[in-house]
Amino acid sequence: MREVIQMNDQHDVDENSVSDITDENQEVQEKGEEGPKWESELDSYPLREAGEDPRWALRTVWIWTGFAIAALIFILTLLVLGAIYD
Amino acid sequence: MDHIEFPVLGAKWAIGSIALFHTAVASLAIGLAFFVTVAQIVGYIRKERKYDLLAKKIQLIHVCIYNIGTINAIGLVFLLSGLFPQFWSQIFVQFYWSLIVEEFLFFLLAATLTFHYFFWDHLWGHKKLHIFLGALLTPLFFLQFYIINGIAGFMLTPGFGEAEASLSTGVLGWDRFGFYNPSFMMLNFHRVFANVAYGSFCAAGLCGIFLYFAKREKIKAFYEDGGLLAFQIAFAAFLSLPLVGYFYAHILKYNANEAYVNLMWGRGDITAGGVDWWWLKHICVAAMLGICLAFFRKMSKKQTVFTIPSIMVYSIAIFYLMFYVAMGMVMTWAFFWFMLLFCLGGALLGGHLIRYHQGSGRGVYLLVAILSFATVMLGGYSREAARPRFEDRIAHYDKVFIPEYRQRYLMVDIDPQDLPVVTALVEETGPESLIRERCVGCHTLDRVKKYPLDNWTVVVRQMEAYGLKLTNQESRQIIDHLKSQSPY
Repeated sequence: MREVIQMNDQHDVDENSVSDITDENQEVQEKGEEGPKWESELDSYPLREAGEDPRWALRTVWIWTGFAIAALIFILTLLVLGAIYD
Repeated sequence: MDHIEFPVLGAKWAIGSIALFHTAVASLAIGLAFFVTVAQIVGYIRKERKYDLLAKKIQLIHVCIYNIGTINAIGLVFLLSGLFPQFWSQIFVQFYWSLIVEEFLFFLLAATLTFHYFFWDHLWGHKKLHIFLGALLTPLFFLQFYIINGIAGFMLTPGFGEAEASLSTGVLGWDRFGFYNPSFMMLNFHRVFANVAYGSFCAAGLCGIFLYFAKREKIKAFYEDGGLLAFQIAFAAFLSLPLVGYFYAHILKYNANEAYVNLMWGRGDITAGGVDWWWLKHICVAAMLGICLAFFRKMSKKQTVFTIPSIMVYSIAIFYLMFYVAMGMVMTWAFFWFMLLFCLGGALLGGHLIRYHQGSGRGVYLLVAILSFATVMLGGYSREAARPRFEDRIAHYDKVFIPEYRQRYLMVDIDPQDLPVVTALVEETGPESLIRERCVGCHTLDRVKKYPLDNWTVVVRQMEAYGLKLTNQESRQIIDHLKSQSPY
């Protein structure tokens, strides 16, 4: 199931936000201006089905994460051994 | 001429400039990595894209900063190798394996950072994995400066090994006692919190800059809330610094007394061009504290994503005050009044900025980021300027690092047979060596030699009162020798 979580009405989400400054003139001015492209991305948190991720990307990241964790453990072991032995 | 000299700047300032630049960039990278992870986690828990999107924007800046920082680090190695070949060769051999691990960590970090940023939109089906990948950067960064701090701490407080261990026993290229030296752990703690504060204040500062240009309400809210999250993380880390700093100073007092004295009394390179740069750093910190407290007071009335408990903030603010009182007692009360003045001034300015910007944090974010940058630069300078010169600090440094199997003169085409024979130096004893070894713990021998009066009994007693440890016999030997005006 494709899960796209739509954000609630902006007012609900930010009811306690620091940015609740209302400026009517500003809003009127905004209507005539186009916002940046990523502004529309703010409306959703685009989680999706695991199977929809490209396999090559997933495989690359898993391999790298495994290698990085193994390297991290190796280095930590070195540090522990180094703290004991000269 | 027997060594390379750097044009215009000179060797010392060339190294100093690139090292300071590296500090500014590398510390920022570490702080930004931590902020990105927190912002991603907050975004995931609340299912709010704005935090995730901000994390992505900051991570892009981090990628750029990281690249600049690593190239800059290589530049530092190049400069050290050319300008201070003997020093660099010695320290590299002593901590060879530590530096190899450091290099390996650079590789791990660069690859992890690259995958994390460039695979951002490919892993929305495995968001937790993606966040975990980004979170890996923080322990990798901490490990990286854990290693470099061992070496940096060694240069300040040589520790128990004093550079001998790796060349006489055990594994060549690993000096355990040198690495785990007295100031090592406090340097780590201080840098962890300082980097998190610096990186997050800078993330807030970036939000502040974008807020000045944002016209649409939605975009403003995006930067305003992102900036606030960054500010809260930074402020929490910032509050811990006087606590860590106090214990760090305590370590310096007993293990690097000359550095401690230089800092407290503004001696040596700490005062340059008529300015005490360490005071200036503390003035920036006090102003930051005032501005942050004013902003926190305003923000604490609102419910936000991550709020530091007010009782904690105000308790630590009192601790800051106590810290300044203690510094006033140790140094001069002028220090206490200066800090109080700048803290109050900062609070007034913070309040004004919030009112002027009609409740927006943009002015505060930007100003605190600038001050945070200034403290990192001034702190980095003070730390290195306070440190006794390396060759003076380690009395028998020259003796340790001339093993017969290593070429004595680097970069010189010389037949090893022609090298002068190094004979084992006899350990010096007597009042001359006592004076040379003990007095330079806090000041130069030149100061002793230029002292005009003959009241050496009083002077030596004073030094003992300041913390010099002498037996009665040693004290008598030193006084007699100084009174006799014999050479030392």
